[in-house]
This record gives sequence, C-alpha cells and structure tokens, in this order.
Amino acid sequence: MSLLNCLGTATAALDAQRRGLEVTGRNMANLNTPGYARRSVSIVTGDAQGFTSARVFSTRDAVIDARYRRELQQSVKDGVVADELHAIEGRVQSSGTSIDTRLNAFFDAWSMLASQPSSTTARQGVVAEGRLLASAFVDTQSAFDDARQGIDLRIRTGIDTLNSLAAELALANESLLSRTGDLDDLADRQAQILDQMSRLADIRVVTQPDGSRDVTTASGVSLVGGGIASVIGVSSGSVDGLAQLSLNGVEITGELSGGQLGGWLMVRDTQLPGYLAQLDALASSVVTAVNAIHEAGTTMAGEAGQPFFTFLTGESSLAAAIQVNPDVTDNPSLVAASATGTVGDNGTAQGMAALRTSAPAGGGATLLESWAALVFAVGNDTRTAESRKDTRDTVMAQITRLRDEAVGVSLDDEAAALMRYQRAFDANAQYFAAVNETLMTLMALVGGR
Amino acid sequence: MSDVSAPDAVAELRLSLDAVAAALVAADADALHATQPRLSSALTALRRVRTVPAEQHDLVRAEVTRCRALLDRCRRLGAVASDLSSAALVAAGVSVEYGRVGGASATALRGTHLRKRS
Repeated sequence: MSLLNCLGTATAALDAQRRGLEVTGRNMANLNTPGYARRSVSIVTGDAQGFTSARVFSTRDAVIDARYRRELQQSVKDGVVADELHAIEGRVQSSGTSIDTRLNAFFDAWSMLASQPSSTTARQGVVAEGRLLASAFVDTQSAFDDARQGIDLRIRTGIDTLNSLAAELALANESLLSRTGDLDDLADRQAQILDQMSRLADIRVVTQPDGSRDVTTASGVSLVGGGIASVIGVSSGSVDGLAQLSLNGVEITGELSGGQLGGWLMVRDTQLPGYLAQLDALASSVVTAVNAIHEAGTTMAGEAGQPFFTFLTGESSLAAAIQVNPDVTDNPSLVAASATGTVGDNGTAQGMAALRTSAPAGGGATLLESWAALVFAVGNDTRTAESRKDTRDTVMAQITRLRDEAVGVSLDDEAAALMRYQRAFDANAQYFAAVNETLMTLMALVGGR
Repeated sequence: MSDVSAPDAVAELRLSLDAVAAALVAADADALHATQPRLSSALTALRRVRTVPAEQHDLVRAEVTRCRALLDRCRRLGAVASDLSSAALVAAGVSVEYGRVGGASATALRGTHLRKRS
C-alpha cells in the first residue's frame, strides 16, 4: 500500500469515526427538537484497501408514526370539543343571570301580584321581571352566538395555518425530490409538518417511493401532491356568515371530522345549533304559555289582556327576539291579573304563578324542566367529551412512549455510550506505552531503530 | 520462560492493534472493551521473545514498523475521539468526571488534541 493510500485509509477512518461521534453529539443536541428522529451510524469496512465509510440514517417507524397521527387527530378533537363545551357550560350555569333564576323571579313577581291584585307596584314588578327574563334569553342566545363566532374565527385561523403547512410540506417534498439538503433532515421536517397538520385536521398521508409525502382529506381530496399544495378556500355562508371550506372546487366543510378543525366544526355546526334550537323552543314555550294565560285575563281597566311577550322582527332566532310587549312596558296597568274582570280577582296572576310547577298546555315538561333539560344536555355533552379526551390521552401517552422509544433520543443512553467509549479507550491506552517499549526492544534485537 | 516465535508474536500484536483501531473507528465501546484481553495477551507473548533468528530479522523489522504505525494511529484516533466525546458531553451539560459519590460532577472542556475556538 502506498503512502498516499495509507493516508487515504486513515482519513476515511477518521471521517467515519468523526461522523459517529458527530451523530451522538447531534442526537444529544436535538434531544427536545420536535420531529427529530434519533440518528444511527452504520460503519462499513470498505474495499480491499481498507477504506471505511459511515452511513447516517434516522430511525423512523412508519407504522407507529401513522398510528400516532391517527390518535393525535382524535385526541386533539376531543380536547377541543371538551374545552369549548366547558366554556359554554359555564355560561348557561352562571348563577343569578341564568334563565332558571329569571324564570323563578318572574313567577315570584306573579305570586306577589296574586296576593295584591290591585297593586300598581306589583304590576311594575311583573313587567320588570318579564324584561329581565327576556334579557336572559337574549343574553344566553348571544352567548351561544358569540361562542359560534369565536369558533368560526378559530376555524379561519386554523385553515390559514393548514394552508401554510401544506405549502411547507410541498416545499420539503420538492427539496427531497431534487435531492437538495440533508435527506434525513428533510424527513424530520416532513414528519414535524405532518404532526402539525394532524393536530389541525384528519388528514391521510401517503408516502411515495421517492420519499415525498402526499396528503389528502379523509375523503380523498388532494391537499398536497409532491411539490404542489392546493389551497383550502374559505368563503362566508350567505345565511349566517360562517366560514365554508372548499378544496379543489369540492365542498369539504362537513368532511373535516378530526383534529382541532374537526372539533371546532362539530361544536359550531352540530352542538351549538342544537342548543340554540332548544333555547328557541323554550323561548317559544314561555311566550306561548304566558301569552295564552295573559290574553285570557282582564286588566285593571276591565279590558282583555294583550300578549305579555312579543317578538322583535329581524332577529335570527326567537330567543334573540323575545321582549315584553312595549305597550305593557310603557303602561304596567295593562298587566292582567284578574281572570273574571272582577275587582280583586287574581285568577290570571295565580295561573301565571302556577306555570312554575305545571306544564304549559300541550307540553309534558314545565318551563323550568325544559331549561334544565338544555343545561343537562350541555353538561352531559361536556362530560362525554371530557371522558373521551381522558381515554384518548391514555392511548396517546402509550403511543407517544412507543414512538419515543422508536425514534426519540435518550440523553442518558447517548451520554453513557460516549463515556463508555472514552473509558474503553483510556483502558487500551494504558497498554500503548508498554507496547511501544516492547516494540523498541524487539527492533533493537533485529538491528533496526 | 519459553522462547516464542517473534514473527508470530508481532503478527498477533498487529492484529490486536488492528482490532483496537477498528473499534475506535466504529466508536464501538463494547468492541473496544473486547480488544483489551487480546492486546494484553499479545503484549505478554511479545515480552517472552528472547531471540530472533537472523533469517527472520527483515520480516520482524517490517512487522514492527507496521505495528508502530498502527499504534500511532490508535493513539491519534483515540485521543481525538476522546476529546470529541468530552466536547459533546460538556455541550450537553453532562460531566465526563465522576464525583465523590460516583455521580457526575461539574467539568469544563479540557481537550488536549482539540482546542475550542476563541
């Protein structure tokens, strides 16, 4: 072997060794880097001249990665639903301002009027409590609507993020296809982007033989194909102004059922509309039942009672439109307390107060029970979502541990490997002086230097 | 003490040093540990060489030269690797020294073959 060959061999060996140590150092430095997969080195003793080469590869497990993302999508969705419903639950259960409190106060006012059927003050009290009850409906409807609008804003921001991530993934795919940059780093970047995308939506990932990652929605509409990313379009609905999503000309609003977007869409389009419908039904029941009794009664002036509650026109829902009849508000003497028209009769006021415990005509539940049913529905949905989230969290913890074992960096392992390596060399180095001395002696024996 | 064949003893030492170098290159601590007994016994055998027949002088001389080159290579590989390891450990906040109770103790980079960039 020539001197140059010797130098070449030594250089290759040193390079291989350097890469081995470099990889260990890099693993340690990237201990907490999201998406980083532990690198390993494969040292190959090369050709007949003893050249040594090292190949660095990342330890990824495609099956665990896919399972991790699948669980992540559902786990994040359950978390989002639980969080949003928890906020809504707090609103409907707030003491003092909730509808049940105001209904009870309204019936108390009618009881007071029943005990003093000729009292103007008691009539003013009925009107005041009626207005507070109407306000409670409007406030609750407004709270649900605000929640929908807030979620809608988060959906729009989430779509912006998803589009950015799709563009980034397409860029990483493009770099990978053109072999520009460290391939393992690009794979890390792809994995990190896919994790972030899975956190947002239920995507499907297809790994191509060239290493690029294609992404589609659950129903198969392409979001990223090689180096090309499609953009999810957002338009405002003509009726409610809420965001409607489309991809490549296909409406996908109802198709996103996982990740944060899936959770937000579910609360915005399924659960909140359900609660709003229940609230409207209750508002309608209150107005119908109260007006039926009031219109059958007689005012202080001996006139037939007017509708106690009316609906404002132009509002999107009954709960938002409920108000005390402006005529009654302006003139509380129009409040009907008598059922017969006789002075001192309190039949209408008593009938109104009895609505607290009796179901309105045609209904199976009292008004308070109807409200309780709505509160129970919100609470039950919240508990269910929290329970699902807890279960998912347990599964996620297991899968995360599996994934960390497969691709994660153990600082202890890496440090221990380096220290063992150092100690092993130190132990061998103890012999080197003795070997050198012995070789000198032997060289002297054979007449060399 | 019996005399042993000088060419055989030197060849065994060369093979041992080859194994040490390979383990160093592969950064394989287990393999490096495994080379110790072989290196030790090769050294012991070499020390038992009392005479070298004249006709084997050239052969032994060439082997000794190769061994010296290998030894030098092992020293350099090991020293550089040791410094790189220290640097990596210090960078990661892990001590390369043992404390009084066997745990990690505070340390600073003390490379002998690598110097930190100022």
